[in-house]
Amino acid sequence: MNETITGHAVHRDDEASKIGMWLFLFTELLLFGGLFLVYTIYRHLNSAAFANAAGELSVLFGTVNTVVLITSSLTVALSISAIKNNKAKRAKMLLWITLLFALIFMINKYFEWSAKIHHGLFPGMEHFMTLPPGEALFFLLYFFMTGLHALHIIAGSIFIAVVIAQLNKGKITQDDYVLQENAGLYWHLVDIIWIYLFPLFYLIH
Amino acid sequence: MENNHSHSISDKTYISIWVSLLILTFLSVEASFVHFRAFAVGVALFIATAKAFIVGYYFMHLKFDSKIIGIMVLVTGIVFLTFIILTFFDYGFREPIV
Repeated sequence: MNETITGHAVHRDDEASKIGMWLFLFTELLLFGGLFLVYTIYRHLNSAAFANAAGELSVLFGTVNTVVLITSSLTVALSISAIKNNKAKRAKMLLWITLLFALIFMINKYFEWSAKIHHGLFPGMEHFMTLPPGEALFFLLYFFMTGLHALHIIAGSIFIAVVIAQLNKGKITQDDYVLQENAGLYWHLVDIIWIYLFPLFYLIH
Repeated sequence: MENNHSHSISDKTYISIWVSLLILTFLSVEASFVHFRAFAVGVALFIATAKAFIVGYYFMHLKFDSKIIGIMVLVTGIVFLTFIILTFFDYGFREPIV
């Protein structure tokens, strides 16, 4: 599918582009994988303390955020099938809805973290320093891993915003939407990481 | 879903996939309140892995993408599992710290 623009043939390899995105996703998986390994070992060594500390987290908040992220994954997938069917407007609308879900996720996170920080559970705070070592480890990992995940939500939102801008400019079309697919891959990965964070931090009793 | 020419999943299928992910989420919340401590982690990780598989296979399009991507995902998964298992060979066989 070579179109000529200003006399040059455009070379495109969508599959290579996707493989490149996947390679990047693997580095992300191993980044979180290392943290999951740390979590697993410390939970193994401090299982009672971890269960105790996890009681402080709200299962409701965690469940709501899981539903929010799963639904945002659906809207991203639907937006890609919309652009495949040449419905750019619908694709854009679905991506805006995704960004709205990302915002809801972050607002929930804000209230959740605020409550924990209010209780002095952020690493280095007074109450944190008096916790038994196992519980302190739990909260350290909780803030680090959910914080890193939240940064990924922000990065993914920026990626999606770029895709919306490209859709507006008509640079993403029915014949050339690999950028949107790659943004989708990133967003789904962020969803998958949350799928693991949720039971590991919120669902231990 | 039949493998048609455009290699795409219909919106209806996407929505049923989303429903199945929601059902699995509520299942894992419910399961966490059942008191089988020994199984709890296993059940939680099993359900999470089922969800991750569904997201990867359908939403991330591994079902239709070229096999090479699927193989790469598999290899990465095996590398990660190897790290976990080998680390547990260490911690699992240590004398308990008194």
